[in-house]
Amino acid sequence: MKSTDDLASQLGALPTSDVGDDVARRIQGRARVVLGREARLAKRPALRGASRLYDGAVEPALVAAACFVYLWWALDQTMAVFR
Amino acid sequence: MTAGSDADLLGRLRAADPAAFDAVYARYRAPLHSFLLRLTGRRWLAEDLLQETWLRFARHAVDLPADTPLRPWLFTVARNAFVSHRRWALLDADRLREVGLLPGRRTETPFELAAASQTERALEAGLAALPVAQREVLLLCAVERMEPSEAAQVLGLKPEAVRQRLSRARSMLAEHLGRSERPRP
Repeated sequence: MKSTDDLASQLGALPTSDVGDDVARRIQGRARVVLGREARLAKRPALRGASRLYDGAVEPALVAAACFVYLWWALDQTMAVFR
Repeated sequence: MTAGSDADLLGRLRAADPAAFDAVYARYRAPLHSFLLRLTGRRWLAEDLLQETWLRFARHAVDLPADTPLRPWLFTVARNAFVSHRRWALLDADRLREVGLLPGRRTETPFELAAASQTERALEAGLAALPVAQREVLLLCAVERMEPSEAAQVLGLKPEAVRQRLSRARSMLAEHLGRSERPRP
């Protein structure tokens, strides 16, 4: 069995793994778009609040409501086949 | 151009300087990816969570307090993204295998497949075999060489709890390596 010191030094020497160039560029590009948008919104706090509210609450609620309506309709249609 | 310290970069980021963002990205992209890849064991998932981490960073960079320790903050976001994914992936094959509902052994991680030596391969296999709670503390303290106080911040624990968990994780890993080194009958 290895000593804990041996283990610590071996774990510290494990290699790192980076993403490929394409993925790295894609993530960086998307993040910079978000950063630019946040920088623009930072100058207009009211708009920023509205944007946060839309992204965090309104949009998810709309998506959930659409899913619910569609599921309700699909169930109704399925039950109509057996009526 | 020199990249500067994390505090300098954060100061420039609060003014939404894209060059400061690029410098932080270049500094922490590979360590965060390695952390996520060792946590998840799957390349596509690690890349997804890495993207989520950087998007969240970009969204909050201009609001971060000036004294925010950047490295623990980024690792906290990455770890939270992983925890959140695990919470939703209830029927993930690895989870089912863990609780014995699926037969077979776990698949080798990308790090195991790329290991340059037998020792490295055994270490990667040992890390991958540990429960998540022990794996993450080892990744932060031993692989990333964070102080227990920094790791505690990432894990939402007290430093003393991190030390105890770290000690247990080291014993489990040593035990695992001892078992794999022993010749099979």
